[in-house]
Amino acid sequence: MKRLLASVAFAGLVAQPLAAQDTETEGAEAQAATEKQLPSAYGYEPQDDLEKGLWYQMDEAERRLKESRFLIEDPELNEYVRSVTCKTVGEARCQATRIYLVRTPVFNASMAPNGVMLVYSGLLLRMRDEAQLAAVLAHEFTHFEKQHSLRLFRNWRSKTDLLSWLSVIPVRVPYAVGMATQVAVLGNMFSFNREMEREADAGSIEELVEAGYDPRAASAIWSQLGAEMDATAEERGHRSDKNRNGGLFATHPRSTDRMGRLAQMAREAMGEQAEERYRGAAEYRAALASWWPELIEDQIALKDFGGTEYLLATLAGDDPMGWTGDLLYARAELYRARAEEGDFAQAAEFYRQAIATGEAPAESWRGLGLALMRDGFKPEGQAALRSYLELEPDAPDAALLASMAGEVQS
Amino acid sequence: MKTWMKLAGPLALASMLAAAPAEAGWRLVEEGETRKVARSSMRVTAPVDWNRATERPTSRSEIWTQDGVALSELMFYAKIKDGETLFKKHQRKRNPLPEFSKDMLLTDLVEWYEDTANVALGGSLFEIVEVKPATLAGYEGVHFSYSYTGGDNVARLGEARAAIIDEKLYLISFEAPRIHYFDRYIAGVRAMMDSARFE
Repeated sequence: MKRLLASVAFAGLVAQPLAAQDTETEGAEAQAATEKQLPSAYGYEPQDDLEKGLWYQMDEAERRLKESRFLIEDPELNEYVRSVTCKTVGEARCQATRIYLVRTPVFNASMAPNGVMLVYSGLLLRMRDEAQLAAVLAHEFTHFEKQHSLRLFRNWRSKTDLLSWLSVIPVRVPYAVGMATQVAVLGNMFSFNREMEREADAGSIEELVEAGYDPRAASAIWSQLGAEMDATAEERGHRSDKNRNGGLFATHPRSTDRMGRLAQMAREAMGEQAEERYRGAAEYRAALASWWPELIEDQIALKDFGGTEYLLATLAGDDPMGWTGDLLYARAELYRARAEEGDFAQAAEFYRQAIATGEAPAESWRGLGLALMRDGFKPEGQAALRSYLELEPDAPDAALLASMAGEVQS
Repeated sequence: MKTWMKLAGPLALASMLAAAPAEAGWRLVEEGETRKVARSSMRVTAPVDWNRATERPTSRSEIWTQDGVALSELMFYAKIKDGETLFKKHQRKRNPLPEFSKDMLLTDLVEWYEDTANVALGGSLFEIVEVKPATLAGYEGVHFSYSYTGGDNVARLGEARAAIIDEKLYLISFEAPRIHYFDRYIAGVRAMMDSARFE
């Protein structure tokens, strides 16, 4: 039903080209149009009743968002994302945005017409370096500065009854998202049209080059996302989502087409200079370091075996030495949770490798014990559980584990 | 509109996701009454009056409440078999719920419940607080407490007791907002969990 509504509205948008819409607006407000201010400019105010109404709704939503338990409030991480934004679009323009980090294991980011930028933790988990994060931020910033969502709203408004667009905001989340309603107004994934996405892609390449980032980061994101979607689909036995609408930015151009075009734009922007551009992989890892274990845990909880297995390999950097204790532990948890033929033995192996790194979480012993017990090695499993309890005597399930390990209960 | 309903934010875990029938009628369970739950031979005794929904979320479950399910939700699940899920599967391929296995350890039951909640609530802030050994209807089982915040941004607490009996899962769970409602009912709920027995 929703999809139908969205596509009807979209069809309307195509049938009435934006150029026509713009002319109409300019006719009415010729004066305003000539000295049109960008929304990223200092002191920008909404220009007419519709935009004022929209801002009012968005500001209300932002007020509610501030109370959300899903916000990541860590000042250091917030400051890092803000600094990357400012470095990418420049100090002056980045003043127009207020960034909120949202704890949701979905690959997404969005920017509302009033300058609220939402960055999902699932996106932070998937970026491999600062340049990739900058590419996403620049992409969203371009949508914002070019007022794409405002243009869509104007169009919707002319097609539907009064404020009914508020109740049919084109949310197209392919997953159930716990906090979706809290950001429905702010974080709606607008179905931007093909032209708008091209504009935003081109904008992101420009900003990246301007800021000194490697513009190839933008296409790398799409190849990673496509491969992850393939991996998810293969394991679950459905068609890959990579060429559907949905996923990051719920875009119109198909991901694979887009990847190629972004790569080409990056080549053109860099010219013949093949020198190394800044990617900031180490900086990015450092900034996210304290959050990774939790973000990986959120991802594992989604029970997307194929996609998560791919993602962990990506995070390890396709390098055997890149498998840290945390990543090995996460991989072991993934296999133990899937619980298919051979998975417990495989999980036990990964737990042992994790423990061997000397920097694995103590829960590796817990997982090892439980995997061994499920695999029929009860005494060995009980021994591993006892090792865990020595390390974490106050674990939430210590009492149960102690009884399973054959210890006498107090 | 289906999509919108799904996004409208799960309130209490089971009632929204298990598609509790909209037109459920309610019947009084009187103080001291002992009755079979969730079409099984497991019986519990209500220490105070409760309201029982006449329609079941699934054929293997039953829902009771005091003030409406958003404020107090007591769920009974019985005879869940190997390969079945806790709730109805509504996105079988793209968002599958984890399946129960008769070979699960008691710790696995807790993780499975947590995974179910996470898939169903779409990455909510779900956290296991404490896990203890316990008995359910005389069988070795597990009692665990948890907290989570769903789409309505209300912090809830929950407790559940579960056991695998004759290769099938039996589980009783209770959840309510952290503020006021949980504390108000939890002692009575624990007593009811203790009262569970077969014949």
